[in-house]
Amino acid sequence: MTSILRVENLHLRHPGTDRDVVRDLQLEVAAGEILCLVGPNGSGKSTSLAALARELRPRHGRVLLDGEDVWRIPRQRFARRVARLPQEPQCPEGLTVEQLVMAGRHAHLGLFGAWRTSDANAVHEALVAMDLLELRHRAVDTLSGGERRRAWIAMVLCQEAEVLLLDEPTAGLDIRHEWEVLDLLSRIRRDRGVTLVLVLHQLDQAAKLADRVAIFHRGRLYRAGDPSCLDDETLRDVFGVDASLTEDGGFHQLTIRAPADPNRHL
Amino acid sequence: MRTVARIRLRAAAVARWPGFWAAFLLFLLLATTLVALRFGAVSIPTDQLADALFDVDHPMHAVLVQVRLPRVVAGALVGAALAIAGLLLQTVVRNPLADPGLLGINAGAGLAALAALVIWPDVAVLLPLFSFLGALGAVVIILLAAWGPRRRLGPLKLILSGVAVQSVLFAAIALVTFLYADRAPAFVSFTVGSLNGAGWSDVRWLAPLALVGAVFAFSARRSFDLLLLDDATAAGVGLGVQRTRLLACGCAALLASVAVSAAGLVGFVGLVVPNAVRLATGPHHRTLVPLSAIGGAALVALADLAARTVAAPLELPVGALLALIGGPYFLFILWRQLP
Repeated sequence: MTSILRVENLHLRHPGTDRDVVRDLQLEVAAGEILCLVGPNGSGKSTSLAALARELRPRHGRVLLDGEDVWRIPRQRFARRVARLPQEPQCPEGLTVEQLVMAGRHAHLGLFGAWRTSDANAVHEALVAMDLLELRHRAVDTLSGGERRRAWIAMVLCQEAEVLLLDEPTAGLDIRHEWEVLDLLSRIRRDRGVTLVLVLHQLDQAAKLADRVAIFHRGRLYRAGDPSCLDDETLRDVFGVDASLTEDGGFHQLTIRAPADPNRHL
Repeated sequence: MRTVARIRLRAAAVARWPGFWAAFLLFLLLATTLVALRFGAVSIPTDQLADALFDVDHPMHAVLVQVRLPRVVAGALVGAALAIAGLLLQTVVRNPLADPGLLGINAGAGLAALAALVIWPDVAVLLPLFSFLGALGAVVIILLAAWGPRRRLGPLKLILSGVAVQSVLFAAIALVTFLYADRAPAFVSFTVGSLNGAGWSDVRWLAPLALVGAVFAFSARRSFDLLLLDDATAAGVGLGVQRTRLLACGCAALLASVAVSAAGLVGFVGLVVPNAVRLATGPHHRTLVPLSAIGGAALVALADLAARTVAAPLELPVGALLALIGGPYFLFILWRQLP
């Protein structure tokens, strides 16, 4: 498999602070794979995702998209190839689902923002794929949590990018909607062949969905590999719990026995 | 009962249709213009209005065409400019509480214009340029103050720094008008805003500049829509967020300064009109920009008509009347929005 995104020697720091939150990160994302970034709170997952999305400029090191430094790629061209959904996206009161999805076409629009048939088709396809056709005239702020998440994913889909970066797409959803969203994501990958990089907190979800997981610990990459690398030792070292992740018929189950050491600082 | 419900539903659908509001506001503007032409120191009977307007030999023709009409047009342009400026600022800070008056941008334009008047009393041509630079200066100071080392534009920080900048600029305006009472216009009439004496000479530069601002705001409507999403999402779909924000601020500064050089510090139009339009038709700049422009034009024209006529022959400052509407509306937004 060829890598589409490549992270070299990355050091990241939030503006106005004096501490690197991610240090010396090396990572490759293969074309067409689902990579889940997992790790405890504050371990640098979301920050790394922001750097992949060309949102946070690295203090040191670089992010390459097909060998090209992402900061050298013009913003619109980058947006046609890489789409990003933040953790808690906000939208104005009264914006309808269809109008939100249309926002995803910004990078494709012609001169003076001309709207073309291909744009209308992409919006329609995204609405169909996310099963939102009937809700398209509803205001986003009147939808349920699961529907709203689907609307946001439809906006990202409409961007027709080859790489989707999603920050906790299941946060705040109930169990059924969590699985619905994960199911949609794996279907998107299957149907459209896109590459997915997502930050996930639920390890069982990550293990089920991902081809590979990248485990973050204290701002560094602890380990990257197939989901089986989430073994007991890793769970103890990284998450500080005495637990096991077991697989049963394609589903993963996390069994937590006890905190490994309640006094240990993660 | 069912019919009533159906009528209500239909009425709600019509009320959300931008065309309805455009027609209503245009009608209001037109009606205000006609009434404003009719009433004044000498009122013209309604049946003679057309004659007086188009017949050059009519005794009232000069008053109508040289005094009343340009004043209505100037008022409408000032209103349109202020409403779009307010709309753009609200978009930039993603908060309905922004207004060029509240944020001190009008005051920046006013101070620079006053300084120009005091230093070069003869060069009136420079007035709009100076007020634009003043407005831009105020925007830059407010943005820098609100930006801070963490590089985040919080709406609360922005409004607070705007209020601070505004009070400093107001103090400076008061000082200038006090020290140069012989050259500067009277403090009160300048700070509350007035269209007294506005003529075609004002409209001649007011119109093209306001048009430039309005056309720019409308042509960038899609980008401004994206600014209403959060920064990360807007950047994610390919928008240059900071660049768009700066352009919107520049455009707002242009429009506010144009209005200030014509009418002094007219406040609250930029607050009331875009919010009212947004409540009626939703958050899209495709409808917000034109409807705010027409609404602002109608509001200021109407307020100026009232200012001229309610206490005639005494003329009230139009800005004071607008503040009487705008102040309570501001409180209403605060009450509705803040937890």
